[in-house]
Amino acid sequence: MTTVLAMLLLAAVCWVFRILFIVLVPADRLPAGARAALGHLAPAVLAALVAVEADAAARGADLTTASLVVGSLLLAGLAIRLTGNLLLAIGIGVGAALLIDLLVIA
Amino acid sequence: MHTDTAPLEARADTCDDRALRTAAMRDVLAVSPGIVPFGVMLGVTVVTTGTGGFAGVLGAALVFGGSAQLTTIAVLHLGAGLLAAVLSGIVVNARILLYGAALEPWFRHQPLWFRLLGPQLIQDQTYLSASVRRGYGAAEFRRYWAWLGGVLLAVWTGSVVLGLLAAPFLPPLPHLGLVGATLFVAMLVPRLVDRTSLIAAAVAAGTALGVVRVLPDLGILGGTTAGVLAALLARRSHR
Repeated sequence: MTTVLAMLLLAAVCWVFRILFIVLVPADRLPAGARAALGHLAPAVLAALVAVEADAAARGADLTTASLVVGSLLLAGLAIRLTGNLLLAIGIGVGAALLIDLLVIA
Repeated sequence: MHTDTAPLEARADTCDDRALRTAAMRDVLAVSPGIVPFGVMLGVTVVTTGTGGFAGVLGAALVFGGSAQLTTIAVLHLGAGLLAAVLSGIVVNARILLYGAALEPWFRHQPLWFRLLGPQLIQDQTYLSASVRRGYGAAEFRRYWAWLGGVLLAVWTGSVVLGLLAAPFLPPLPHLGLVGATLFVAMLVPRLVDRTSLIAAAVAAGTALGVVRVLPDLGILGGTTAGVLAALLARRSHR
């Protein structure tokens, strides 16, 4: 029930976000400072997410697992930089997860 | 970001429905390989975290933002409260504010019902596809947007359902969240385009790692806030 409520709340706020600068506030009236701040939001939040996810995956793990976690993230970053292929990056994550869960831990 | 403000109502509607549908389908085919694996992974995550299939499919259809939904589910799974989880999802999805601002010229002269309902289909891929479609009149854009967003929403929701169905046949995979992390890396790297974005990312990651040790619920929010502030300061000092 909590998750259903969370999805409904999230969807409602996302809808407001989507129409905010289309219906509620004309986009050209947005203060320059706010525009600048929003422009930096994506890299900041994505980096924070990666850091927290990596920390959760590697915390308390043995050296091999921690190395695989960090190594797979670095490799995914390198792959997307060189090829721009999202599937390849995702494949690296899948491979690392399978390697850790099916071989290292098991 | 595209900021074309040319009035769309002044343009004649010259394309037929088939041409608009074909254009939309072409765009759907181009972006689907990036959507389907993430949707399947989200479906599997929904099962492995015990979130519940109904909530997963409902979120896929209504939120239409995989990273936000995944974040909300993950934060809930980590034991955070409802508001903290939703807030985390909102922060992750805050970029749709920018997408809405950028696509506003396409919606400006549309009827109110479309300006209220159409933006529900705004997300990374629809924004990227539609923002290069400059030649459409208002009615043409409505048809193109409905095909593009509607089919992508179906592809996305279907891929989440596929993940839900496949998950029981897979062995326990506690590190599957690593797939989400690599996807976030893949979304992050193309955004590291200058010194300011690098500073934002580095400060956000470092702060998040520090904050999460002390206040686990606020790691993402704390890191994000610090990263944005650092980027603003860096921009000012660079001028």
